[in-house]
Amino acid sequence: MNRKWSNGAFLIICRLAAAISILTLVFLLSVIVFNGIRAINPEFLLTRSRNFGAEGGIFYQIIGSILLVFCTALIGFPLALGTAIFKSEYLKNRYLLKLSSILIYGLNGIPSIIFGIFGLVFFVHYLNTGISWFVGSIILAIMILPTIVLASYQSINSIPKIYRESAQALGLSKWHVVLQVIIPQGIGGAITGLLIGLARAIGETAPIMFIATAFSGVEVPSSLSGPVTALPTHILILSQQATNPLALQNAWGSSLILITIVFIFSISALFSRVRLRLVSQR
Amino acid sequence: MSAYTNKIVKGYVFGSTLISAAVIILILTVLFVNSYDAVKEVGYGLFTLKWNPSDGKFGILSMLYGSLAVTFLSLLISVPLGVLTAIFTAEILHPKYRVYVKSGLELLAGIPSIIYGLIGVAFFSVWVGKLFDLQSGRTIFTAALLLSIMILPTIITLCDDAFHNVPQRYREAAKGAGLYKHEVILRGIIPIAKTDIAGAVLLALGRALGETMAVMLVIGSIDKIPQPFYNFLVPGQTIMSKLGREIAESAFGSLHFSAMIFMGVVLLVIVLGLTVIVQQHFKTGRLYE
Amino acid sequence: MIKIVNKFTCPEQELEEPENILVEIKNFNVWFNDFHVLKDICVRFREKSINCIIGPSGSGKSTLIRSVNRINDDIDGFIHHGDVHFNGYTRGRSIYHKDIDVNNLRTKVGMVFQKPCVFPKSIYENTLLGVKYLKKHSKQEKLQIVEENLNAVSLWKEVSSRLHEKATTLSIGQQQRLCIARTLAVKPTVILLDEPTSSLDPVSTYAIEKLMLQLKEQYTIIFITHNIVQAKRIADYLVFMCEGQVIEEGTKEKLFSNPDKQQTKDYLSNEYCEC
Repeated sequence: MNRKWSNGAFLIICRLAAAISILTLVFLLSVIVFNGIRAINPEFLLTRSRNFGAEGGIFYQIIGSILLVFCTALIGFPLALGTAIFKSEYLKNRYLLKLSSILIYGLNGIPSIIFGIFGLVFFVHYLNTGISWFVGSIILAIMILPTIVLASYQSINSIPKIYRESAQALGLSKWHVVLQVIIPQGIGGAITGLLIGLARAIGETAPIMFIATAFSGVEVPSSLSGPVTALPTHILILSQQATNPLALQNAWGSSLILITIVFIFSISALFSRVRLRLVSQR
Repeated sequence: MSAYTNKIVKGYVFGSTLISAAVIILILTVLFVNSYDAVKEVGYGLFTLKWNPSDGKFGILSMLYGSLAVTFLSLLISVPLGVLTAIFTAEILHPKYRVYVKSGLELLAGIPSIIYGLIGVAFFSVWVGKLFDLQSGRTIFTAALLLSIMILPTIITLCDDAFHNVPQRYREAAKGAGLYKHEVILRGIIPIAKTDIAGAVLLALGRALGETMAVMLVIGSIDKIPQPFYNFLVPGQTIMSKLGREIAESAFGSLHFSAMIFMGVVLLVIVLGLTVIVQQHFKTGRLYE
Repeated sequence: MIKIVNKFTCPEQELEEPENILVEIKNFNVWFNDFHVLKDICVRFREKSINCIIGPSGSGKSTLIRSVNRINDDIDGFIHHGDVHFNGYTRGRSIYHKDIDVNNLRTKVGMVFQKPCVFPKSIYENTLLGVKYLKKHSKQEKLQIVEENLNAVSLWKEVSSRLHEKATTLSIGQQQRLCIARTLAVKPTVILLDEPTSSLDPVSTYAIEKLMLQLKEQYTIIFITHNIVQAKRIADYLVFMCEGQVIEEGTKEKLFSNPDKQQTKDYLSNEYCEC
């Protein structure tokens, strides 16, 4: 009888914990959605911000964020794909392979603000680039590099050896094997990794707040140098004026837009991963 | 033609690997070089309580304490909650809902930390202030509460994987021995899954230690160890929130700047150590976290 | 590293028809790390005939033919010693000579694997996979190559209407024939087949065997099987291997009716041997 009772108690505790977790997380989402929706209207999306963001819209912040992650993808993707191919196809030494894994996981574990500080010291001060959105893209690309490398490496490394041997047996050189076999079959994993990485990159504040963004009064940069305004840093500024209800409302609006973009990336990544799994099962 | 293009591809993959490796080394070098001044000038003075740049005092212990306290407190809240929730999703909930739960958790884990910060500013700090009748709701406890919600999805989804990786035959064997469900889980499943759970907790620990934006907005930014030290309902400071607040204000090349970098290095070493330990000993096999 | 200590040399053998030797393997040894897989292999493969390699599993059959197109090169820990001559191509050098272009060699020595391996591309692209880098072809020429080679493996009638569908939609037997067509398209001299029928059903196996008999008019075929009955049906010459050594080689008739070695006789009659 006693065991039966503790079984019931245990199951209730688990359900209770799950209910608390789920309610908390649902609360988070609904707070963002309900508060955000009130702030959003065409004017908010399509005009520039005024009065330190408390009034006006977030048009240039959206453009700036998209510009940042677009260049992040352009820099990070080829670099990561090359690294993954090297690790999988060319690197044979066991110790180097292990070392490369440790380095990649290590890079993945570095807290995001450290990247910001590195960018500040190395680019802004050593290379004297000044505050530059392009430097921000470089730093974000470095930050998401391990995610893309690992995802690409995983999918490239899971291509059975027989595919490589079959292609080689036809007289294809290593580079043709890479181009004909490795890249077509590994690209899905790489893109999944890229999407996951971009979902993270677009929401990051700490890496870019010292090196790439200005708070307001900036439109679209005309060259590689010069700051942009971005959604996460905009939310930071607004939440520091949280006592001003107008600023707070705009912060919720910006948050909803940001989270929507993040979810677009992460949902695409989910689908791309599911599709990949289906393909590989066949 | 073929030999030439062969070289291009080889150059490309080798070049990108070199760049990737160089970047990691460069980051570490830049940080170590810049923290050297502080180590040379301040020395053991770095491990004292007082931080006052205008006075030449650069003690990081208050911030280090803040980081550890916030992280410890947030794990205290999120680990039991997360593990129990994972038991629910993995062992009690019907498997057909699992894919939705997992996708949902993955989405939630991706919410940018600045948005958590905003929620913390707008709700949590106000609630904590009212609940405990404080002058300001921006306290170590508020930060820990916020952080625990932030890392909750990660802990749930990793622990769910841990339970899911336990082969079905253990459940069947335990059930066959006439055990109740709670005994199956507590005596059969958890002992097998516990290494993976430990890995998940360490990963969450690393993430909590490195979190900047959300903590920075709600912790109150006072560089003091509370009196008594377990009074968490007062403002504090973590290493990361200190960096986020002050690095832009310190002049590059100054002792102040160098001491800030040193602080970052201390935390980086802790986090990297954790990451490598998890990677080498736990093999949670999750790549995207 | 392995020290190569033995100074074994192949015995000079009297040959009935010395002029038709195409591939000649001399004193060939292979190690994987410190595991000695092939021991002092001396064997000859005859031109335009089916050379069957038989032997129990683990006897090094696959390693041997995979050494003929150097596909073993990329395997971790592969060490070789000895010569593989490819008469008329390598001009007296071993194919492992440093001046030999391994990719070019592989276009002369095609290979079909145990499990059919088609790429997740269309049937059309799969057939052209090896060809399209050799030289530029017009669309017309490409289609001609596809038709010719799919015809050669009697697949053309079955797939001509769906050339642009994924090759993975074909049955396993069709996939294996596509793999052979893909190999033929490169116009090799030698075709290596590593148990190509072991994962196929009897009907597809029969189709492939029939195909082999046609192909030997033009190509030199080196065929691994552990099915003795199959060897009896299609082989011209037999090589019997056991535990990394060649026990006996000769014409099919000789090995089946009057082998020199007791092990050969045991294996061919009972599929059992002690080496």
